[in-house]
Amino acid sequence: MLTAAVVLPLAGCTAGSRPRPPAPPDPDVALRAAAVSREQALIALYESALGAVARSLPPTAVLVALHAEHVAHLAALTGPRTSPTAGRPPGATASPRATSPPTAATPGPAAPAAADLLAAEAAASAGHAVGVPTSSRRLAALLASLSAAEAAHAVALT
Amino acid sequence: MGDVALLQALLAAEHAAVYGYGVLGARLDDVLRAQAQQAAAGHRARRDQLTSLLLARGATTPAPAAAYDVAVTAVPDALALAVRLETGLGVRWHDLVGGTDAAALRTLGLAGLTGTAVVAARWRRAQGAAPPTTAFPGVDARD
Repeated sequence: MLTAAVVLPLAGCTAGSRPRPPAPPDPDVALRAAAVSREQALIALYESALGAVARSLPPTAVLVALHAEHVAHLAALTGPRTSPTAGRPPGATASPRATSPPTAATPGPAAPAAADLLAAEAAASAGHAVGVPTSSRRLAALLASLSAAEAAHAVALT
Repeated sequence: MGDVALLQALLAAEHAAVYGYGVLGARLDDVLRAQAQQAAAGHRARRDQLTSLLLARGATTPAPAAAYDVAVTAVPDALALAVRLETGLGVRWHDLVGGTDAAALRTLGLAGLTGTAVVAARWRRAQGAAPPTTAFPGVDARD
């Protein structure tokens, strides 16, 4: 009877096995997802700028080039097997559309000003930097490169 | 490569940058010379910071070479050298970020990489490059 009292609490356990604590979440997953969101937002912002006609914006060639860099950033974050156009409707490409202004019949959101682009780049740079100290080495190196790239974009935008 | 080796490689590169800016600055006009002087001051500060970090770790600090193989005969050479110095350092800073688990060193590496990326972009703009940026600072220069 004493033996049963001792055995019962151990029911279901085998010799040498203990319930394993749940694995801690991989910090890279959230950091990478946040970085993807930042780059996607920048891509959308540049595409909005390219669709507008505004004297306050940098030259189209600059916007096209910076847009392409952000597309490359997104590709680096999502991996070589994921197309930069993942999630877009069929037929869409990662390239910006022609720089024709929106028609009066299809009013859209106000075009970003150069100051908006600068602010967005600075915010993304800071956002990427947050993940550098604590992520894996590989992701830290990538986030550092992206953060530095966004900071340097200010030179092209001014 | 351990933290000390990464820091030593960076210090050696900063020595070269300080020397290089001393050479290229002489070929530039007043505006760009001021830009070069500002960049050189930044590299001297990084050099001193890296020296302190290595000494704190009880590690040896690479001395600057007596001379470096830099040939600058005209303004385009000077600008090209400036870009090369910054992008080369960018690779070293990138190596530090990806080569250490120490948060403080990663933060230092990020600051260094960002600094060189911005300065390199300014020099490329002076060259007339469009765009003056690269997609992956610290990585692109490896090609």
